Amino acid sequence: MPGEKTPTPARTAGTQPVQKHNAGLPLDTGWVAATRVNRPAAERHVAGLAARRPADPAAEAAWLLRAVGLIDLTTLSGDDTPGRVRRLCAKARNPLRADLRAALGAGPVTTAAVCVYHEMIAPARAALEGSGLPVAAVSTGFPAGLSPFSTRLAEIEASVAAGAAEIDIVISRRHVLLGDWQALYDEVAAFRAACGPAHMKAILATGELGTLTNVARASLVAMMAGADFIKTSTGKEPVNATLPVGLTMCRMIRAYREATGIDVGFKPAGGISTATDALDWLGLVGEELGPRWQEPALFRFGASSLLGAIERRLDEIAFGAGSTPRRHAPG
Amino acid sequence: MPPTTLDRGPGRAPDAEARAWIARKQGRFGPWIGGPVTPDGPRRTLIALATGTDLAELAEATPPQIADARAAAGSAQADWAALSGPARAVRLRVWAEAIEVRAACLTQLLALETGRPVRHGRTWLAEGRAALRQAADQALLGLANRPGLVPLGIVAPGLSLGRIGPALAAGNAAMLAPGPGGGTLAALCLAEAAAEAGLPAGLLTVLTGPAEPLLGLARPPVPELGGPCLHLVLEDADLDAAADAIAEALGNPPPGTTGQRLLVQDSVAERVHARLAGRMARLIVGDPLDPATDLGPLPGAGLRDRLTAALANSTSTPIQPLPRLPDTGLHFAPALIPGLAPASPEMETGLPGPVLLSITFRSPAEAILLANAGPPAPSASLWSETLAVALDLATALEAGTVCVNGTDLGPAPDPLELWQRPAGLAPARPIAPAPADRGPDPTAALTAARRVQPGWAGRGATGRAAVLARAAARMPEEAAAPLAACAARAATACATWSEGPGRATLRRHRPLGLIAALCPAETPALAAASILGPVLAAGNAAVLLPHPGDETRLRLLVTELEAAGLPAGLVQILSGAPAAVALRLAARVDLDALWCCEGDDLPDTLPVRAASGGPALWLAQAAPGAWSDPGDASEAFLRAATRAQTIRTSWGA
Repeated sequence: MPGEKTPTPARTAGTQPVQKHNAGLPLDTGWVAATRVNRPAAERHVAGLAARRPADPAAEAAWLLRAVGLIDLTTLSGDDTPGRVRRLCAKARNPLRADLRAALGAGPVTTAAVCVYHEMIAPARAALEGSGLPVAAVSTGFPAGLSPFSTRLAEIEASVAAGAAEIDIVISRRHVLLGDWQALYDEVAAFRAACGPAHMKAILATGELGTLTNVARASLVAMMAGADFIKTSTGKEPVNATLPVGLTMCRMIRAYREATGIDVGFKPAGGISTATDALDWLGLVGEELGPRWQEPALFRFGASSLLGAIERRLDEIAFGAGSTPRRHAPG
Repeated sequence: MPPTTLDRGPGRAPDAEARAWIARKQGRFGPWIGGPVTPDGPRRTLIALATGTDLAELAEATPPQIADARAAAGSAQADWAALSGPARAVRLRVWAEAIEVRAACLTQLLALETGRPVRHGRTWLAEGRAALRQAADQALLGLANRPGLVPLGIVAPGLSLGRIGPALAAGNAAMLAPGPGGGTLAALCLAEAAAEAGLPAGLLTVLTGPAEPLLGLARPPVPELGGPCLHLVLEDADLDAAADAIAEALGNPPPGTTGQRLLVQDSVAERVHARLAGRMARLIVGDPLDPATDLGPLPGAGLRDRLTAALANSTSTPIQPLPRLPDTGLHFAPALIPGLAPASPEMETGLPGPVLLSITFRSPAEAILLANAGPPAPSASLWSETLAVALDLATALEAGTVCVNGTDLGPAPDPLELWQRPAGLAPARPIAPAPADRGPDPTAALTAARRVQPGWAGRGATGRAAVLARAAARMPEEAAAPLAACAARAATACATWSEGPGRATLRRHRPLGLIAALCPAETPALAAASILGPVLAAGNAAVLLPHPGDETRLRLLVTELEAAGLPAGLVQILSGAPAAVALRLAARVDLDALWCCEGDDLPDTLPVRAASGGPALWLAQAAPGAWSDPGDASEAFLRAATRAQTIRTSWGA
């Protein structure tokens, strides 16, 4: 649809507002224990999301442009090199082809952040210099979180010192599986303290927590302990972000907000790889939490291949002749 | 920068298939009697509810057409019933495919005429097709042609494939009359698909006017439930899931219900109401043709005015969060009236439409008390994460279908045998009204029997059957056979459990409570035993009205039963002219069922339903000699002596 105006502009590049930190709460085990989630009901509820995707191509393009600006563009591989990270950062600064943006009537667009391992913080910072894009680092013995506690704290401190503005920590799954909420609370609170000025995203690794009820309880405890964001997965578990898990976490964020007035962000990560996935997740947070959770201050996609899928779909909407990966710059 | 809402943009409301189908018929419709017939009757214009524009012209069936329809259905039914089960199965499966081909058209027709959102229409149709295929499979396996059972004849299952499928598979012909605005066009489209599938002409008839012509048709001997749908939320529920599902049910009420009620535990009531309000505000109200729509338009301006007045005059403060309403069509924002009392006027009369009436309870026992006050609900949803609590309440609720932790599991398809009867018995049918007459006062007998019934029901199916078997061993052969047969059957056929992926359906049979029966003159001991066997085996108390002269033999039978362990007083014998006593009993609200197992001399003098809440009447007119084959009769009698309840649940940790 060249020439048509998109109804909502994409977020202006490189100016994401910073959410104030979550001050946390004392651990409320009564609230944790009273929280129950019925999985079949959650599955039936999210099955209705597909029907609520925007039907109009102009609206769909606006949603997908928004989704691009919500991506934490991620590389978490053993073979990451400074060169690979620089390429990724270039893609984060300029995720969409200029003629594609022009055809969609979109202004400058960037992704929300770049997410890397600790060793790649420095090259990422250098490559993002002047863009305003933050670097997020995964930490605390990512992905399993089973290295010594002191090492995990030191890892956070080192990453913050290296200039990571956002730290994605992983929780100890055993605390959830053993129902040791005090241990989980203490662990996350210690990570929170170590993060200092950096934003902390708590990865719950929901694919390893067994039940949706555990996902809900772990979400609550992480928020009580001061997580600024709760994040579904590392991307390394056998099952990553699923919509029932997302629904459960959104409901907990809403409950926490009702109790404290504090807004906690949400980051689904892993397995989100198609444009329709992005629409469903945006629809889910919009319905459960409202439009503020469709902004980067409170919502991120943790994804590596999602951007390519969105580019191809936007290409198709803009020029109406399908798309191939060849038409878009690799990251 | 302030957050910008991501808009869905203009929705799509595809209606091409339905409009094309209507256009092919020049927009004029009449009844379907073995095919489209000339629209001769009085005409009215059907309105597309969402837009208020004309949709089609509908001509009512004329009296001669109705007579033709009966005749056509009768002859089609005879041919159809003569087919083997597998032969019926093949045609029903083809019909299911023909329906699938028309799926878009059917859901659009429903949306246009009735306002049911296509999102819900699709689910309805998918479940309907699954039920149809299941019924076909059962017919294929020979379950539709069991020896000793015959079809009811011409039946009126209503516009539900979960009922039509089993009714046809069992060998019946079906007549539908959904009424203008009730889905007549969709019914005509289904009939067209049936004709294409090779179902005999006349097997599925659609009448385009009111439903009165269907009143005299044969019906299964089970009470038909009506009234509001019930939602029961306990404090240990997944409250978010409950609130979301209940709010969505406002746009998708279970079939056969009018209005919705919420019973919520005091300790969580405030939270549940708040969450309901939040979800109601986010429901998409609008064009039912848009696949995103949750709640379609109201069927008429009268209902809108009634609901508006009810909200304005409510004794409690209603909550009506206003979602965006479209400019055209009779749209109404869903509302919640919390804090009502069972005696509030709203609760007493009920409100149809998307208004949820809420009362609170303190304990599970109180929830059962409040939920079971008034006539049984056709459908209920029950929310608790604790198995012991959920099962306790599900089994104690009087509702016909109870969905545990879900509102959208829907009613299960009917079992085939619901639409069949023993070969020796005439079909159950309603009886014409008549003025009340006097007879002896049955109060003492009813009260005495009622008092011991719960204890008897509580003994369990095996315990009850054992008493009957012991009594049979002490009796003369003619009375022993039906008792023994019934005991064996009742002890094994108590409930069925069927499973699908992640969900299960429990179908159980509960005693009606107190059943009175007019005993036939033919073979008194045998017939009385044939009646008492099923009534008692199912857990009921009985009041017998013996033929004059048979009383002594019946008393002897009861004495033997009590000697074998039957609680004293469970079987009462009322002497006096049976016809006069029956008339008195027909008006009693403390009697659950009245069976007339007599000859031809009684039926026309009994009222259909003397008082609201009066007993369910069942005419089991036995053909001469029918009592001599207790095996076949006992199954039908057992079914008539119980109320089936379906409990549906889904699981997932």
